[in-house]
Formats: sequence, C-alpha cells, structure tokens
Amino acid sequence: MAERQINVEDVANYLYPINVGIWDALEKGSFALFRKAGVIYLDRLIGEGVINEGNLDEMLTQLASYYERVGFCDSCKLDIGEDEITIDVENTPFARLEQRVRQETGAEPFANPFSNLTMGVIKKVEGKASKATVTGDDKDLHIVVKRVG
Amino acid sequence: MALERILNDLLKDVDGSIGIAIAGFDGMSVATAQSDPNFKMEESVASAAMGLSTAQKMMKDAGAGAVKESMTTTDAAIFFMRPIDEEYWLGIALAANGNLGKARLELKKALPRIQKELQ
Repeated sequence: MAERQINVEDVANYLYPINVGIWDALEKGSFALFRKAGVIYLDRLIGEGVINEGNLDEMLTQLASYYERVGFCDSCKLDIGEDEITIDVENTPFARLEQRVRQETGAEPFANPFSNLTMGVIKKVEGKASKATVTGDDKDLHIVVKRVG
Repeated sequence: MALERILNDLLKDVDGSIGIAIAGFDGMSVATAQSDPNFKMEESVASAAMGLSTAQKMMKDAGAGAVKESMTTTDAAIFFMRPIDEEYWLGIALAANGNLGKARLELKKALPRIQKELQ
C-alpha cells in the first residue's frame, strides 16, 4: 500500500463527531464495534502488505513502526510481557480526540486504534480475547492490554 | 468452570440449540458452549452485543424502560438474549425449529445461578 502523509490531526477532528455519534447509538456496544473494527483494520494492513503475519512481537513491532511512520504519533514504545502488553504513545492526536469524546460522553476510551489493533493482533496470533485500559492526557497515552481467559 | 457447566447444561436441555454465551456489552465473551462446531461464536457474540446495545438505546429513547429480552429470528436461526445486569448478557442461538419456549424458560431459571457466579 502506498503510504501517504496524512494529517492525523484532521482525521482525529473528523472522527470526533463520528465517535460521539457511535457512542450515542450503541453506548457500551461501541466497545464491541471497535473490537471488530480493529480486526478488520489489521486484516487490511496485512492484506496490503503493510504488516506481515508473524509472532506477537514481530507484528506489534511492525505496527508501532507503522504508527510512527504515518504520523499517528511521535513515538510508540512497547513492553511485551507474559501477562500484559504496555504501550506508551507520545504526542498523538488520538489522545486529544479521546479526551474530547470522554468529556462529551463520559465514556471510557473505546475507539483507540493502538489498543484495538493490539487486541486484534492478540486475537489473530493467540486466539485469545483481551481487554485494554487506556490512560493519559491530551498528548500522550499509556495503554495496558491484558489477555482474558 | 461453573459458568461453562451451566451453559453446557442449558445447551443439553434446549432442543435445537446451537450455541450459548455469557458476554459483556463490550462484545467479549465470559463463557461459551456450542453444539455446532461451525457456529461462529466470537463473531456472533460481538455482533449480538451491538444488537442488544442498540435495542437498549432504542427503548431508552422511547422511554420504554429496560430491555428484559431481545429476539431475532431468521430463515435459519433464532437469537434470543437477555441482559443479566448492567455489564453482562446471556444469549442463545437456536436452529429455526429449536424450542424457543424452553429456551426462554431455562435461561430465566438459570439467571440467579449465573448472577451468583458473576459476583
């Protein structure tokens, strides 16, 4: 896939009313929607050769590099442990987006691409469900993804 | 696991049942059982969570109160779901000729045991 330089800030601004609208329609079901969306997006990235299928470390490392390359964030650092995966994301417009959506809806972050794609990779590689906790401020995100079951 | 035992018993007790799940509204299953290995459990659970959430929102907007049960019938199947609490729901997929009446009854009867296990 040809990777274009996109203005992720504009994308995040565009996504704001969409995410608020989705929460308004589905409430907690929004988590289910974006869990599915993460898997679909991951399949697309694999299908277009952006990410190669491999083990968990390889795929997550490729994703982190992709985020930085296309401008999702300035940096994405991974800590892949036995029990949990920690993702530290610096300077991402998605942090601002989530803060705005949370202020509007009161919802926990449900549309985070970093966590949803990571859950998609875990599902694809290990066949396991996982759950993410997203914290942070209007620039940086700290994400912890834990396998369930 | 106690929840899986409960689900397997329900599966055996209800004629025509294909699969059964306890799941969160976030689309993640807590426990599942299925008699048909081809049944797409994970995908169904995620979609059903969205469907039930939409039904809840629809009734909330209509001022019609909390959803007690939700059902979708198709040419080939019946999906019957009922919320357990604010976080979780219980759903069963039946063949089109499955025993819906028994499914409703058995799911209702199993609810207190499931609630106890989820605490």
